[in-house]
Amino acid sequence: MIDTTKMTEQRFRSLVEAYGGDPARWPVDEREAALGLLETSATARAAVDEARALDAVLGKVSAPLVPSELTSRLLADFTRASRRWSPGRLAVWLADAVWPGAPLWQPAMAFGLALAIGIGVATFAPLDLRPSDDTSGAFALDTVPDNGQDI
Amino acid sequence: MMIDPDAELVARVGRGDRAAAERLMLRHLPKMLALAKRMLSDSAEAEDAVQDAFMRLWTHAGRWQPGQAKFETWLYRVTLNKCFDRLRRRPTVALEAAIAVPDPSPGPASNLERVALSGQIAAAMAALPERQRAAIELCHYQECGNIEAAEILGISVEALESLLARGRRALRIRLLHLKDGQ
Repeated sequence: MIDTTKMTEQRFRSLVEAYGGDPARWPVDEREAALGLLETSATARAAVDEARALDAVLGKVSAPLVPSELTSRLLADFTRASRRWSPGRLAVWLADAVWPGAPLWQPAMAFGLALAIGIGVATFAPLDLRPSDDTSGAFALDTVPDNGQDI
Repeated sequence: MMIDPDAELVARVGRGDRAAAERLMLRHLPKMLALAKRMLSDSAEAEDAVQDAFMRLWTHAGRWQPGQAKFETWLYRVTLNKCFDRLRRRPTVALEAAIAVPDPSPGPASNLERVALSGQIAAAMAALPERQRAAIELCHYQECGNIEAAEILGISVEALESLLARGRRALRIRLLHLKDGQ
């Protein structure tokens, strides 16, 4: 584990050997301490000068141009991929239809929560389906109402 | 919480938005192509590796979960893995090819010297072991922070520093004769 609170000449050398002589490339949490040492140490300045010579050479590389044919190929791939249906794409499409613009986890979470509540209600709610002792209701449905008339 | 500047575009790409795909591609393609070219030392193969990486993006954007990892870190990792796959399939390291790699972009005669210099640097990079090359590519050329570069390579920061130091030492031996513009 690197101690970032203090900077020794040895650690400074390791840092410069790894990241080069440009402080912008040094680890953020050690930069301030390293710059402090650089102000006071001739050894540190020599290490930086040495590293900057290599940095300058590496910086002479030309950046490659992006061929327009490559961008066309990538966009053609996108068109093909977006026409292809997959379970993931279907899930995204459904989520977007239900909850436009939200990340996929939000409608998925809402659906999961609704499902959990439904299962919970079905499992634990006191739903008593045993036949009741009072059969008058059933009787009433099964018999013709007595209007006091003889049939 | 980490704010990912690409999160919204990635979400739109996942919903099939072509304009978002184009913007995301233009934002990241130059960096990914430069990385692949220096890793593979072969322009055509680098373009194929980058195309594979973007194909993965197009098919996975719908499942992207913001907040888990920075999108660019993920794309670097995918591109680098595509490069590693291709390097492992090669029968030998094509050092001779690397010397011929300098980007053949058209330009005036004054650019020839720069192209030749680029070629020497590309050859020196190509001679490095692939992990050292990747570490230098990420930290020096792509300007990734040490934590991000270590995450992309799947190693500790200490291991990253070791790769960088060994890589730079080898480059210094090969390249320092160029420091005076020779």
